[in-house]
Amino acid sequence: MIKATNLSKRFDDIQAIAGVDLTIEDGQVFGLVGTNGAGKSTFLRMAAGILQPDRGTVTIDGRPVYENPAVKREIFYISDDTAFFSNTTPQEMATFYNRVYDSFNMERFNYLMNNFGLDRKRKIKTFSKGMKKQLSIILGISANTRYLYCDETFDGLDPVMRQAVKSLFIGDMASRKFTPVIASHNLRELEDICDTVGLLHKGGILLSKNLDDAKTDIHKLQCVFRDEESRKRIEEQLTVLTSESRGKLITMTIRGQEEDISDALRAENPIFMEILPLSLEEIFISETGVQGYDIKKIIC
Amino acid sequence: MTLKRLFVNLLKENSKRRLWTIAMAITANFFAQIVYAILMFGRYSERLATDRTTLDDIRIHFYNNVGGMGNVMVIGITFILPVILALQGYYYLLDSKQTDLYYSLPIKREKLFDINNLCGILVFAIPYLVFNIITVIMGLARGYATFDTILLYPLNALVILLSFIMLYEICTLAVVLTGHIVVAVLGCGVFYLLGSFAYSIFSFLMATFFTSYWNEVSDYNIGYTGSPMGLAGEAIARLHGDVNSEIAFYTFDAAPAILKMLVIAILSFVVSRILVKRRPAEAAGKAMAFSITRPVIKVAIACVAGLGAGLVMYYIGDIHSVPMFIFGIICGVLVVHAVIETIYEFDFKACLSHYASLIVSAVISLIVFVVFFFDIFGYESWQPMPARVASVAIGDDVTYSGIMAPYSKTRDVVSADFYYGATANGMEYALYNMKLTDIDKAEKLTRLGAINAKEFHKDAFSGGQGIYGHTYREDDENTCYRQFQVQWNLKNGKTVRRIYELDINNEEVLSAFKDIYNTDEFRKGKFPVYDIARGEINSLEGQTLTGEVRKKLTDDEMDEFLKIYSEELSGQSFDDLATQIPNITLYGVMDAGKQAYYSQKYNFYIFDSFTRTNEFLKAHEIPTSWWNGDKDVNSIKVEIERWDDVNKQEIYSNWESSDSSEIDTVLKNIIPTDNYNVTGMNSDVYDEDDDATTVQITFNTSAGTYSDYLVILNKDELPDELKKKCFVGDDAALYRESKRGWVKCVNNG
Repeated sequence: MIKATNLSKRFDDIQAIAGVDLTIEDGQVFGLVGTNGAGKSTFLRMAAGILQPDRGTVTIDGRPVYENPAVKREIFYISDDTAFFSNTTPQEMATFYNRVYDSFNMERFNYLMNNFGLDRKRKIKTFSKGMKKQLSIILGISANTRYLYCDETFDGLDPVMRQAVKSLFIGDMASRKFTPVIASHNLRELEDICDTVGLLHKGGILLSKNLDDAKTDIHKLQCVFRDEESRKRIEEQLTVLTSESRGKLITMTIRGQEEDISDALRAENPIFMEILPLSLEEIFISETGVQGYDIKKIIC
Repeated sequence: MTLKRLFVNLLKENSKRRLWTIAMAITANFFAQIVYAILMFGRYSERLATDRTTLDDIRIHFYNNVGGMGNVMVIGITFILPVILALQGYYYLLDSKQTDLYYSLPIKREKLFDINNLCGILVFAIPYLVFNIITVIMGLARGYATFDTILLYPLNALVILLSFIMLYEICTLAVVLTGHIVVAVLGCGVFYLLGSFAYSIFSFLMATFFTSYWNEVSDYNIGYTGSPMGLAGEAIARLHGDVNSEIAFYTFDAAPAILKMLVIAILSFVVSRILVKRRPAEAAGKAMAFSITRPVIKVAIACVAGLGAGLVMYYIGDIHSVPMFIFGIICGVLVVHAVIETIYEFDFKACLSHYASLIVSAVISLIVFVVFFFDIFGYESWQPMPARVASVAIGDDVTYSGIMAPYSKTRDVVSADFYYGATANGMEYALYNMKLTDIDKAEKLTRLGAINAKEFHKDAFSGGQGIYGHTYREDDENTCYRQFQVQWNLKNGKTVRRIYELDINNEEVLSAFKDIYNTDEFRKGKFPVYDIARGEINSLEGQTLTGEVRKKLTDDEMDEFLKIYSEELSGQSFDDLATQIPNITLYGVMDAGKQAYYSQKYNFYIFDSFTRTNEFLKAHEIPTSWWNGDKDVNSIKVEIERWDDVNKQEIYSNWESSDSSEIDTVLKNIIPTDNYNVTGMNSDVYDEDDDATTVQITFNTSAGTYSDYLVILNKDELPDELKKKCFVGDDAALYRESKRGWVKCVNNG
């Protein structure tokens, strides 16, 4: 279990992470989402032991990560800007990681390289961006570590490759202790694969919960009330995050269980009502909108 | 995996990242050692075959220049490769992508540092050692290296390796402190050069403001002191063999420099290792990794540059202007601050940010200037307390100014001329060897020097004129300033040096100096003849008007000569010397037959009053006078260079004669320049009444022609035409810088 406690990091005048408390349970795919500059990469770099927190700690099973090789042997970090040694080949990178990580599985590396159609002896500098991403993931999976940190790793992969990687993750999670932590802007992709999401905004954590729980806890409501008083009563009774009118049709984002919302609405006997589940992207927009990260403010 | 195994594995992996530097190190060492040795072997063979050298000489050359310390190409590699290897090895600290890659690995940062450090050293050390061993084996096979000196080669190799490691660790520290490759290169430059630059500025300031400062500015050391390269160079130079001495006879002298290098290397390594652990990963890409170092380095550079710019402004043009010095300080500090801030922020608009440090730099520089200008700490008048002084050495240019001795008998071994077995001047010899224990007697003279220096400082700057160059003072016609270099050897092992210019027409000065000169301690320290070992020289040679004469003596004969000469030199008082001019200068040499670098080691001035010496020389058919052979001169040609004060130009004229009476007259009134100056004249100093001047004279004899620069005296005795050309009236002075001479001064006194 990865646990961040009161984690803070400042770069000169910029507070990248401020007092984040986050727990990532084992055996799940954890998605780290957030606005631009929210601190996702900073969090992952601290969780990987690259950056030293100004305050707070990141631990794995109670053991600090920073400057702790024993713990770091359980982590493989793939940065958003994939980095390899200069003028090297995939085979040489694998040999290097094989020496560094006791758990590295060379057979698996060779197998995956063949399956992904990547040449092991070709210079990495001649690879495309997507091929480099694939190589990073193959190296990460072959390292057989408990945790795999992927920072924007799925960006640049074509849909087929994305599916293949997802399958690999699922397969590994089923066969061994494996917990991928994925930071991404591509919420639709995360929605398919993640069990739990952590939402970062302006260096702080807005929510961290099981994706299904998150979805059941927030709903989109479309309805036509009989009068304005009904609408006001609903807004008073329920936790309305956003509300938008288009003629008589009112669209609301409401936090709460579906039954509670449904009961409250029925009591007002609306002309029309429909409760819809939210996508991860919509949850993201709603949650960050509450914090002032409103699309309308950006456009206007 | 065990830690040891992991370390070795990572070392192997690290070496794969360094392929091009490995190739560079191998190629450079191959050419610098193997190819160079092969080229030199060809030269050796050719020189041996043509009897232009000896095998011993070649062995020393091989030790000095090929297989040992002084291989210039190896030294060059030792200085340059550390920068390249440190930048390459620690590049991961300067690039954020690489930092993420390395720091995400389950390896401690110190271990990563250690692996890179060791790998960088091995990249140089392995090819260097392999090729060095091969080179020495090649030398052994050809007989250019011998087994009795074989242990010196690994010692040399260790010093070269230590030099490399020290420079490599310094460059590593520069990289660790910075976060950008360009700034890291500049950092290496700062660490390499800032110390020597600061030392040079300090020396120039001392020379500019203090008349009593022992001026090192023109010395070989000036560009290297304070620099790690200079330290390495010093150790290398001190291990260098001398052509006239045994191989590596300075080995013990090199120990302090070697120890310093070791300390610097270890300190740099330890500091870098600690800093790497504390260095934030996000420093990659920034100019400086640690914010605290930014103002420190900036202020240090700005102060040095400000004072340097002040000196440049001060010396621009003929006027030495104090306001220009201050203007230079402000300009220098401002420009350097702006440049460094621009580098720090990667933004030209930030050039004047952090102005507090700009003010600090300017204030520090101005304080330094004020300290020097007003001599706040009393440098000019300070002298060590007599109770702290073990002995005093005094070098003078009043007597025997042309004395020479091998560098090996002075401290000045790190000299460009050293390699050719050249000699040091008598002043340096005296300062190194003289041990005057009568401190009170010496203090009479040095106290006068200090008083004079203090007054000179005050006068010089009240007139806005600098002191640099120790220009002789001319207070009035009756003064005659001469230089005295004083070295106090303190009881704590340290030394203090000062230069004083004193008027030897002053009775108090002359009396004080006479008292010192007439002591045995002074003679033994001043004249190298008292310290010539048996077998050190085997020949005497001298120059007469008909050419060079050289005579080989047995060791016993040479010992006898040295004994007689020493005794007669001891018997020559200051007053005796003041009225004498030597007849000939003889040189003591080691004639090794085919020795390549033949040189004169000592000189002996032969006076009429040295009767026993003259007898010995005559008995051994060695000339006692420069005029030997004067009867063979058929004709002479005098070439005169005269300054036309009216037209402000030099005028050249000749006078020739084959008339025997005219030749005799001229020969009676000429004297070799060295002999004339031995009694305290510099070559540019002449008699006050224009009664002597230097001309070039060519003598034609039956044996050939001989030409030399000579002093021509007694104008009234010369043939009229020659007199006119040499001495055209009282106001037609010949080219010279000063009129005064010691003989005249002493006579006046």
